[in-house]
Amino acid sequence: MPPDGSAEKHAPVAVVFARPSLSCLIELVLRHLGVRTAATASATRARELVLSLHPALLVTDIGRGPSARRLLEKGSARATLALIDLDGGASSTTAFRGGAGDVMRVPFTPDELAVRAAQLLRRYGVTTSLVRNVAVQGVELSLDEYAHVGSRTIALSAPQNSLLYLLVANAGRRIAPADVRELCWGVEHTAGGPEVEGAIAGLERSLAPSDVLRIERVKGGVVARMAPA
Amino acid sequence: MYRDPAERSAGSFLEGLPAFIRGVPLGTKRESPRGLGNTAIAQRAPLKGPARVLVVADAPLSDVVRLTLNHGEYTCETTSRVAEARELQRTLKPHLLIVDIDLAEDGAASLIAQIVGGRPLPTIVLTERGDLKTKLAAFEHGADDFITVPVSPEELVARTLALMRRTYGNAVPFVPIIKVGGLELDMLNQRVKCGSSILHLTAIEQALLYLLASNPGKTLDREVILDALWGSDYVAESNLVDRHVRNLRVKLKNDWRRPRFIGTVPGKGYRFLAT
Repeated sequence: MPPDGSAEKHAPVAVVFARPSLSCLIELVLRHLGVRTAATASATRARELVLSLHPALLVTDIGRGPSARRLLEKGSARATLALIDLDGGASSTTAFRGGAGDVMRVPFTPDELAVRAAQLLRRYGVTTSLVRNVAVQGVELSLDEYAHVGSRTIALSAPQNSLLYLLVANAGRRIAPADVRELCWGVEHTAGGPEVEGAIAGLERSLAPSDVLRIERVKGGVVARMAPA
Repeated sequence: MYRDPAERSAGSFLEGLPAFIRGVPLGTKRESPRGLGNTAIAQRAPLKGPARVLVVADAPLSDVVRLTLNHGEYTCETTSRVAEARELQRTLKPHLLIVDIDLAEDGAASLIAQIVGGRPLPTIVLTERGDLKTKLAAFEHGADDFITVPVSPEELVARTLALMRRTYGNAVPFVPIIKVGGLELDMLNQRVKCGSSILHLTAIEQALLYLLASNPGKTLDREVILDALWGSDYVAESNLVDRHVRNLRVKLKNDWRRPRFIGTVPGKGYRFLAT
């Protein structure tokens, strides 16, 4: 980046309207595109952000109800990515008809979000640089289902990689097991508590003996703690 | 030793790709219309009559795609041979190509975005390989969209309709309910009407029903069903398919001793019995 930060200043902006755990995940993934983000869980605030920031991309979780769907605009000059989930009562068909430029079902893998967002922006004439890895406090996350810690390259399964992105994105915040299951496996998947716990334990084993990411079991969920940079 | 995971799974489709996944901006490779996605180019003339779709895939995927496309006004040709697909691109002049790049036969990627009627053919790529490189490569070859197998029927319909609208302006009419073998499949509401009963299906049950119904009378092995619905990488419990078939039968009030819709083929799998 140039010393004056002009690259960042001219980076495309995305507004993300989703619940906090999902927003953080989306913001982290969009770093692979060099996209600056502003996230909110409030529909009113989302509208304000859209009006004030004129984002190149709007990501909206239309499972959040009519207010989220109203953010979609038919014929909009802005790239709009709608997120749907099986509980939300919205389908890909209705999201596209409502004006979405592309649609993704929750859960998604980080690489799918990155690729779809890049392609959607490109359709709207916005060029992005898609990079494979991003570094967050000692951990290099990769869209290729690898993590790099120091000189080590750690192969991860797809659920482990999704889990790692979710935990790192929400570092310091409690995530409920239901959220972990929904954002990594999906509401309809048969993954139960033991499978989720098994994936968390597997991820811990994979990252050991490094202490860059500690996963604490707390009442009502898990909290990821990143080692200070 | 570190190995790029895509190297292990990539076939000829990925060979010789540029290094854009290492950080070269997407959209900078402009020496050919490929890689832009056809919709970045000018919109085509509106459609008159049903849209012609060429589906290039092996069975049973091609059968599911064909059945699912009944939710729009399409005429559909399917083939699993690349040479035949090339010939159909020339003679049929399709409005849309849906191609499985993991076809048993090599060369499927060469069909993407071929010039038909003077313009690149709008293309949706189906792929079992869900890795980053494959997805990027699909776009770089000129695909407009991709769907990872296992395919959700609703997603296929939605992406097809959206691409047709983006490309041709006027929307292909959407048919929310289709009739198959005595059942009415309501895609949007994920419901099925069986006689006077209206039953809600889960996404997996819906996909299972489309898979079975797209192959009436044909026995589908458990392995085939597993691959089609969960993907070939999925490590499933041994009775996963049976469990979902049982649940679907319960909803359809289908007695396994006197099956009306789903018959069991002992030691093999299941088949759809049209009534």
